[in-house]
Amino acid sequence: MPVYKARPKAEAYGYCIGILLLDYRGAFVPGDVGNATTYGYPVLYKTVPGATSARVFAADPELETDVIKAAQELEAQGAKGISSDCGFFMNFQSAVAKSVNIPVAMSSLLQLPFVAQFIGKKRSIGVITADSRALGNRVLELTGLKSETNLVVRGMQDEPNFDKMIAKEGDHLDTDKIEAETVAVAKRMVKENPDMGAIVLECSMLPPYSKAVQEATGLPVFDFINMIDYLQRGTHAKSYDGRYY
Amino acid sequence: MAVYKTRRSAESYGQAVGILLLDAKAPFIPGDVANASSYSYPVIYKTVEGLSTAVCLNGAPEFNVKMAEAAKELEAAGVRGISSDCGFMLQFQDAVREAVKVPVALSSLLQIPFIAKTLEPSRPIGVITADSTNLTPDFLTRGGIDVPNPIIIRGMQDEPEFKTAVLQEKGTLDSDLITEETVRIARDMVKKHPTMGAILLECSMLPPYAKAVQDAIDLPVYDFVSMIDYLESGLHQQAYRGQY
Repeated sequence: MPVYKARPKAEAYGYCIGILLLDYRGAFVPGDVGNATTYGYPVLYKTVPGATSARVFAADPELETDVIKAAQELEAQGAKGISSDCGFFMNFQSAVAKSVNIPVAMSSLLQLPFVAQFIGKKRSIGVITADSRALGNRVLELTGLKSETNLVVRGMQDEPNFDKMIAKEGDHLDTDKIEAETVAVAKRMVKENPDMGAIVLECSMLPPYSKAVQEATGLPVFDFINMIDYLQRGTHAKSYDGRYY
Repeated sequence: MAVYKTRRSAESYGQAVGILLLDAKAPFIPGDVANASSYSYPVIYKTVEGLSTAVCLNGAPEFNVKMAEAAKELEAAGVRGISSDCGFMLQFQDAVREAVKVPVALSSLLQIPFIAKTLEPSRPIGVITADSTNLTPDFLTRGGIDVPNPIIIRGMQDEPEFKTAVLQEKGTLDSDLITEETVRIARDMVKKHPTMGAILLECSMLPPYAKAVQDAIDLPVYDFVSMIDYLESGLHQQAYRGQY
């Protein structure tokens, strides 16, 4: 492919996935969806002005136009797929999917039906979310999850460090403390549901602790990064340089 | 973690994914599900004896028990997840899932509901399969795959090189010819369905051509290896060593 065409809207080239960001200022550590070193490929970020956690959690319909506009800008810049940094952007999944030509996976929660196929209905799937009060049946139905799925939802909203450092946009984040809280929530959830088959982490700030959760529970753990990596795989097919022997 | 426990059923250690294989003998080239160099992590294979490609494609409920037993052996050896090398193994997904505690993703077709969600519901999803005479809408429904998007199914069974190399196991495989055959089918699908949103390659012998298909049609292309990679990512969470 020796002749390349300029894209008028692109400032730079080579970004695989475009990621819409909440209008939020917190510390995005390595492993966070909002930290570019988390990925093995370049991503392009775009903040949706006015998209506070509260408005996205509440599916504020007045946000829809701005979310769509930001997604279309990422597409015009050359992104091959679109994601976001909040599982509650599930509320805008279908509006964005309608408005662009590239695949859209706004929410980690879209993995629930996928993971449910791996696990079956006899065992439960645990979800750890930033705020379990906002994760009701309405949002879950948007994911396409079948009602027969045995789901257990736990929130981080009552964990003091998560509340102070993440929910309230603290000026610092202590990963040891958030890890301890996340692992404790996961262990408690598995103890109360010994049949659990997998855990899904909704919040984009929790993937740094997935490994600790997996080591503590021995269960498969799927988080926002696993989904974005999968979207990247589909939009950037691999060439294989393997061996035949 | 300094004290390790022996697993009596394990011959070796470190394989996160176990892959059940058809009883087939064809060249499994790099990119094929049954070529170990397709992955960036170790996998372990187990052939299900007697389950030939033809038997599997035509439907073989009598293999439910054998599949479940083979999966249990992989689990006992220590794998954290189980897959296979044929999309038609969707027919065994329930039986195997019942038999083991680890997650099971036997078929590339399990990706369809996720792919559908990433697209507007009117946009078709193209499926290129080894054999479209057996991959019917009814087969998908029985496997629990039920999405609003139109599913356009095209088969490789009449393509000369694919047919003789893969289905008839002639003993050699010309990957240039299969590239041409697969790309031609993909182009034709997109021409007939210009709003197509993504393509899924059902067959475990087609991932080597995913990139050529994508380069030709500029759409998302999912295949068997992309699903196994996704499964593995959930079985083996990474430690992040990035910068702040």
